[in-house]
Amino acid sequence: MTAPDPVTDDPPREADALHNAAGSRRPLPSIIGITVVMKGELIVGEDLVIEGTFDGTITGEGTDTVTVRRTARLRGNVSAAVVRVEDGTNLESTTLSGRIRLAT
Amino acid sequence: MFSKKKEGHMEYERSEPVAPSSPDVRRRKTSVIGPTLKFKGELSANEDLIIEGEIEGTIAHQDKNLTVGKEGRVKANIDARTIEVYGIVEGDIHGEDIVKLAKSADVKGNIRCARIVMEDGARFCGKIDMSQKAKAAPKPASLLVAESSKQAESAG
Repeated sequence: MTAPDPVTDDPPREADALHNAAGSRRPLPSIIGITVVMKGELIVGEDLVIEGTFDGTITGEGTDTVTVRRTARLRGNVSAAVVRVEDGTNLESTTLSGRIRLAT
Repeated sequence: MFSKKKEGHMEYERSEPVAPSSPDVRRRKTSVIGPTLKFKGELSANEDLIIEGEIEGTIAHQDKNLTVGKEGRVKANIDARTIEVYGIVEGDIHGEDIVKLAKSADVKGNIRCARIVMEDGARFCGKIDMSQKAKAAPKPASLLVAESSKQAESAG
Protein backbone atom coordinates (compact mmCIF):
# COMPACT_ATOMS: atom_id res chain seq x y z
CA MET A 1 0.00 0.00 0.00
CA THR A 2 1.58 3.24 -1.10
CA ALA A 3 0.69 6.72 0.03
CA PRO A 4 -1.42 8.71 -2.43
CA ASP A 5 0.62 10.88 -4.74
CA PRO A 6 -0.66 14.46 -4.47
CA VAL A 7 0.54 15.22 -7.97
CA THR A 8 -1.53 12.50 -9.60
CA ASP A 9 -4.63 13.00 -7.49
CA ASP A 10 -7.76 13.62 -9.50
CA PRO A 11 -9.51 16.95 -9.14
CA PRO A 12 -12.04 17.16 -6.36
CA ARG A 13 -15.55 16.92 -7.67
CA GLU A 14 -18.35 17.12 -5.21
CA ALA A 15 -20.70 15.65 -7.76
CA ASP A 16 -18.53 12.53 -7.96
CA ALA A 17 -18.34 12.34 -4.20
CA LEU A 18 -22.11 12.51 -4.00
CA HIS A 19 -22.40 9.99 -6.78
CA ASN A 20 -20.08 7.52 -5.11
CA ALA A 21 -21.52 8.06 -1.67
CA ALA A 22 -24.99 7.28 -2.89
CA GLY A 23 -23.78 4.16 -4.67
CA SER A 24 -25.64 5.18 -7.79
CA ARG A 25 -24.37 4.47 -11.30
CA ARG A 26 -26.44 7.17 -12.91
CA PRO A 27 -24.34 10.29 -13.51
CA LEU A 28 -25.40 13.32 -11.55
CA PRO A 29 -26.83 16.22 -13.51
CA SER A 30 -25.10 19.38 -14.54
CA ILE A 31 -26.28 22.15 -12.25
CA ILE A 32 -26.61 25.77 -13.24
CA GLY A 33 -26.78 27.29 -9.78
CA ILE A 34 -28.96 30.12 -8.54
CA THR A 35 -26.28 32.81 -8.90
CA VAL A 36 -25.18 31.70 -12.36
CA VAL A 37 -26.03 33.87 -15.35
CA MET A 38 -25.49 32.38 -18.81
CA LYS A 39 -26.09 33.92 -22.19
CA GLY A 40 -25.51 31.85 -25.31
CA GLU A 41 -25.94 28.36 -26.73
CA LEU A 42 -25.82 25.25 -24.60
CA ILE A 43 -25.80 21.61 -25.69
CA VAL A 44 -26.04 18.92 -23.06
CA GLY A 45 -26.00 15.12 -23.18
CA GLU A 46 -26.85 14.48 -19.54
CA ASP A 47 -29.48 15.62 -17.09
CA LEU A 48 -29.41 19.35 -16.47
CA VAL A 49 -30.85 21.35 -13.60
CA ILE A 50 -31.30 25.09 -14.04
CA GLU A 51 -31.94 27.32 -11.09
CA GLY A 52 -30.12 30.42 -12.30
CA THR A 53 -30.57 32.75 -15.24
CA PHE A 54 -30.26 31.57 -18.82
CA ASP A 55 -30.77 33.57 -21.99
CA GLY A 56 -30.38 31.62 -25.22
CA THR A 57 -30.80 28.11 -26.57
CA ILE A 58 -30.60 24.85 -24.64
CA THR A 59 -30.51 21.63 -26.64
CA GLY A 60 -30.64 18.29 -24.90
CA GLU A 61 -29.12 15.40 -26.79
CA GLY A 62 -30.40 11.94 -26.00
CA THR A 63 -33.02 10.90 -23.49
CA ASP A 64 -32.06 13.22 -20.71
CA THR A 65 -34.13 15.59 -18.63
CA VAL A 66 -33.80 19.34 -18.33
CA THR A 67 -35.24 20.46 -15.02
CA VAL A 68 -36.17 24.11 -14.63
CA ARG A 69 -36.52 25.10 -11.00
CA ARG A 70 -38.78 27.91 -9.89
CA THR A 71 -35.78 30.12 -9.07
CA ALA A 72 -34.71 30.00 -12.72
CA ARG A 73 -35.19 32.84 -15.16
CA LEU A 74 -35.27 31.58 -18.72
CA ARG A 75 -35.46 33.38 -22.01
CA GLY A 76 -35.11 31.56 -25.31
CA ASN A 77 -35.61 27.98 -26.42
CA VAL A 78 -35.32 24.76 -24.45
CA SER A 79 -35.44 21.51 -26.39
CA ALA A 80 -34.93 18.15 -24.70
CA ALA A 81 -36.44 14.69 -24.45
CA VAL A 82 -38.07 15.70 -21.18
CA VAL A 83 -38.42 19.23 -19.86
CA ARG A 84 -39.54 19.34 -16.25
CA VAL A 85 -40.75 22.73 -15.07
CA GLU A 86 -41.51 23.56 -11.47
CA ASP A 87 -44.68 25.38 -10.69
CA GLY A 88 -44.14 29.14 -10.43
CA THR A 89 -41.14 29.30 -12.76
CA ASN A 90 -40.66 32.55 -14.65
CA LEU A 91 -40.64 31.56 -18.34
CA GLU A 92 -40.42 34.94 -19.99
CA SER A 93 -40.45 34.56 -23.78
CA THR A 94 -39.44 30.92 -23.54
CA THR A 95 -40.26 28.14 -25.96
CA LEU A 96 -40.19 24.61 -24.58
CA SER A 97 -40.16 21.52 -26.79
CA GLY A 98 -40.11 17.84 -25.90
CA ARG A 99 -42.18 16.09 -23.25
CA ILE A 100 -43.13 18.85 -20.89
CA ARG A 101 -43.84 17.93 -17.31
CA LEU A 102 -45.08 20.33 -14.70
CA ALA A 103 -43.91 19.68 -11.16
CA THR A 104 -45.35 21.20 -8.01
CA MET B 1 -34.58 13.90 -4.89
CA PHE B 2 -33.80 17.48 -3.95
CA SER B 3 -35.48 19.68 -1.43
CA LYS B 4 -35.41 23.33 -0.56
CA LYS B 5 -33.77 23.76 2.80
CA LYS B 6 -33.34 27.47 3.36
CA GLU B 7 -35.12 30.51 2.12
CA GLY B 8 -33.12 32.69 -0.21
CA HIS B 9 -30.75 30.06 -1.48
CA MET B 10 -31.46 26.62 -2.75
CA GLU B 11 -29.55 23.83 -1.10
CA TYR B 12 -29.78 20.18 -1.86
CA GLU B 13 -30.22 17.17 0.25
CA ARG B 14 -30.25 13.81 -1.39
CA SER B 15 -32.96 11.43 -0.41
CA GLU B 16 -30.61 8.47 -0.95
CA PRO B 17 -28.50 7.34 2.00
CA VAL B 18 -25.12 9.03 2.10
CA ALA B 19 -22.02 7.37 3.48
CA PRO B 20 -21.28 8.54 7.03
CA SER B 21 -17.69 9.31 6.07
CA SER B 22 -18.80 12.07 3.75
CA PRO B 23 -21.37 14.19 5.56
CA ASP B 24 -20.10 17.41 4.01
CA VAL B 25 -21.17 16.45 0.52
CA ARG B 26 -24.84 16.29 1.40
CA ARG B 27 -25.26 20.02 1.05
CA ARG B 28 -23.44 22.25 -1.32
CA LYS B 29 -23.52 25.50 -3.19
CA THR B 30 -21.56 24.48 -6.24
CA SER B 31 -22.52 24.61 -9.88
CA VAL B 32 -21.37 21.77 -12.08
CA ILE B 33 -20.82 21.91 -15.82
CA GLY B 34 -20.86 18.22 -16.68
CA PRO B 35 -18.61 16.43 -19.17
CA THR B 36 -21.20 16.30 -21.95
CA LEU B 37 -22.15 19.94 -21.67
CA LYS B 38 -20.99 22.42 -24.31
CA PHE B 39 -21.60 26.12 -23.87
CA LYS B 40 -20.75 29.05 -26.08
CA GLY B 41 -21.37 32.52 -24.68
CA GLU B 42 -21.05 34.54 -21.50
CA LEU B 43 -21.03 32.96 -18.07
CA SER B 44 -20.95 34.71 -14.73
CA ALA B 45 -21.52 33.30 -11.26
CA ASN B 46 -21.19 34.05 -7.60
CA GLU B 47 -20.73 30.51 -6.33
CA ASP B 48 -18.15 27.78 -6.71
CA LEU B 49 -18.04 26.29 -10.16
CA ILE B 50 -16.68 23.00 -11.48
CA ILE B 51 -16.23 22.73 -15.23
CA GLU B 52 -15.93 19.26 -16.74
CA GLY B 53 -17.42 20.20 -20.10
CA GLU B 54 -16.57 22.65 -22.86
CA ILE B 55 -16.96 26.38 -22.52
CA GLU B 56 -16.14 29.02 -25.09
CA GLY B 57 -16.62 32.72 -24.45
CA THR B 58 -16.11 34.62 -21.21
CA ILE B 59 -16.19 33.51 -17.58
CA ALA B 60 -16.63 36.16 -14.90
CA HIS B 61 -16.60 34.62 -11.50
CA GLN B 62 -16.95 36.78 -8.43
CA ASP B 63 -14.89 36.03 -5.38
CA LYS B 64 -15.37 32.28 -5.61
CA ASN B 65 -13.49 29.14 -6.56
CA LEU B 66 -13.39 27.83 -10.07
CA THR B 67 -12.14 24.37 -11.02
CA VAL B 68 -11.50 23.22 -14.56
CA GLY B 69 -11.64 19.44 -14.23
CA LYS B 70 -9.64 16.86 -16.13
CA GLU B 71 -12.33 16.64 -18.80
CA GLY B 72 -12.79 20.39 -18.86
CA ARG B 73 -11.96 22.43 -21.97
CA VAL B 74 -12.21 26.16 -21.64
CA LYS B 75 -11.62 28.67 -24.40
CA ALA B 76 -12.20 31.87 -22.49
CA ASN B 77 -10.67 34.43 -20.22
CA ILE B 78 -11.25 33.38 -16.63
CA ASP B 79 -11.67 35.70 -13.67
CA ALA B 80 -12.13 34.20 -10.19
CA ARG B 81 -10.78 34.23 -6.66
CA THR B 82 -9.01 30.87 -6.77
CA ILE B 83 -8.64 28.89 -9.94
CA GLU B 84 -7.59 25.25 -10.19
CA VAL B 85 -6.86 23.79 -13.58
CA TYR B 86 -6.69 20.05 -14.27
CA GLY B 87 -7.83 20.27 -17.88
CA ILE B 88 -7.30 22.53 -20.87
CA VAL B 89 -7.56 26.31 -20.83
CA GLU B 90 -7.00 28.60 -23.77
CA GLY B 91 -7.24 32.17 -22.55
CA ASP B 92 -6.01 34.53 -19.88
CA ILE B 93 -6.44 33.55 -16.24
CA HIS B 94 -6.88 36.12 -13.49
CA GLY B 95 -6.96 34.77 -9.97
CA GLU B 96 -7.63 37.28 -7.17
CA ASP B 97 -5.77 34.98 -4.81
CA ILE B 98 -4.20 31.77 -6.10
CA VAL B 99 -3.93 29.86 -9.36
CA LYS B 100 -3.08 26.15 -9.29
CA LEU B 101 -2.05 24.19 -12.36
CA ALA B 102 -2.16 20.43 -11.82
CA LYS B 103 0.01 17.88 -13.53
CA SER B 104 -2.65 17.29 -16.16
CA ALA B 105 -3.21 20.99 -16.89
CA ASP B 106 -2.59 22.47 -20.32
CA VAL B 107 -2.80 26.26 -20.34
CA LYS B 108 -2.21 28.66 -23.20
CA GLY B 109 -2.56 32.23 -22.03
CA ASN B 110 -1.29 34.73 -19.52
CA ILE B 111 -1.77 34.29 -15.79
CA ARG B 112 -2.23 37.15 -13.35
CA CYS B 113 -2.44 36.28 -9.68
CA ALA B 114 -0.95 36.84 -6.22
CA ARG B 115 0.17 33.24 -5.70
CA ILE B 116 0.70 30.33 -8.04
CA VAL B 117 1.26 26.58 -7.74
CA MET B 118 2.41 24.68 -10.78
CA GLU B 119 2.86 20.95 -10.48
CA ASP B 120 5.55 19.02 -12.26
CA GLY B 121 4.18 18.05 -15.65
CA ALA B 122 1.79 20.95 -16.11
CA ARG B 123 1.95 22.49 -19.57
CA PHE B 124 1.93 26.25 -19.75
CA CYS B 125 2.56 28.73 -22.54
CA GLY B 126 2.28 32.41 -21.64
CA LYS B 127 3.38 35.02 -19.14
CA ILE B 128 2.87 35.14 -15.40
CA ASP B 129 2.26 38.44 -13.61
CA MET B 130 2.43 38.22 -9.83
CA SER B 131 2.63 41.93 -9.09
CA GLN B 132 -0.79 42.06 -7.46
CA LYS B 133 -1.29 41.45 -3.75
CA ALA B 134 -3.52 38.71 -2.43
CA LYS B 135 -7.00 39.91 -1.64
CA ALA B 136 -7.81 39.59 2.06
CA ALA B 137 -10.17 36.73 2.77
CA PRO B 138 -13.62 37.84 3.93
CA LYS B 139 -13.93 37.81 7.71
CA PRO B 140 -16.38 35.46 9.38
CA ALA B 141 -19.62 37.08 10.55
CA SER B 142 -18.78 36.34 14.20
CA LEU B 143 -15.58 38.41 13.96
CA LEU B 144 -17.41 41.29 12.33
CA VAL B 145 -19.99 41.29 15.13
CA ALA B 146 -17.21 41.24 17.76
CA GLU B 147 -15.42 44.14 16.05
CA SER B 148 -18.56 46.23 15.76
CA SER B 149 -19.40 45.69 19.42
CA LYS B 150 -15.85 46.76 20.39
CA GLN B 151 -16.21 49.90 18.31
CA ALA B 152 -19.55 50.63 19.94
CA GLU B 153 -17.99 50.21 23.39
CA SER B 154 -15.06 52.50 22.62
CA ALA B 155 -17.42 55.11 21.14
CA GLY B 156 -19.69 54.94 24.16
